[in-house]
Amino acid sequence: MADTIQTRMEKIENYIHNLAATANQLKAASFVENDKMHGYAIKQSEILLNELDKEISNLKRMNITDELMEKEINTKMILILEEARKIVDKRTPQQFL
Amino acid sequence: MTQTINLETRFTEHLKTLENEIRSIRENMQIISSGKGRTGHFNKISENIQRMKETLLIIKRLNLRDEAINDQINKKIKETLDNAIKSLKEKDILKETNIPQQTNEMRILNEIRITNEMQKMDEIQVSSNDIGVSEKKLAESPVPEPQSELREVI
Repeated sequence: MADTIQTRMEKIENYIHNLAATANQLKAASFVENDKMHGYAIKQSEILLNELDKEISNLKRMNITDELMEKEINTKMILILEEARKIVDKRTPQQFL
Repeated sequence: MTQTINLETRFTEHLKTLENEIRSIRENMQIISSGKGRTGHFNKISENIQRMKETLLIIKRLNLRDEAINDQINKKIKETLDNAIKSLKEKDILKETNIPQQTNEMRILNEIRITNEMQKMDEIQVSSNDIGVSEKKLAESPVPEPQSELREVI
């Protein structure tokens, strides 16, 4: 089953959290001039940034109103239209002029 | 006039902000990986990440589900009403140009009808008054006193 908006948001939150940790690692590696750690942090942040881009693109393509919501919308619409009909039925033709 | 920006637009705007922050992080990362990174670049990355976290919180607070439902309902109601008005106009029931004319015609007709009825009522009342009052007056009016000169003569 395809990811919901909420699942994608959770993924993004996770990636941002990991990116913050990797940025700290990179900063530390730069200060202590640890090339191995520096290289690893750069690579790791690239992966995370790519994943973030991918998830954001997916979110952009997603329709906010999914199928389940469509059903709920239709049920609510029927109720609203029934209420509207009740109001209209009570009016005399003169009241519409 | 206040303008309501719909949910989808706001959602897309926030996603764009996230994309911009990612682009900025990439640029700073490239500078750092080339060995030209300074404290400022690291700080910028931290700021970008902080802004991303804030944007994510805003998106979470959007209450996507409820707002999306309301947006869709409003859209559908507008469509339904537009269609109803369109079909009424097509059937000449709600032709804007007809409304004042109909109202005027109806008003004039009503005025004529009311005037006629009032005239009839007046006529009936006048004739009944003539009969009723004259009889009543005759019955109730006291016999006039003879005038003083006449009284003396008598």
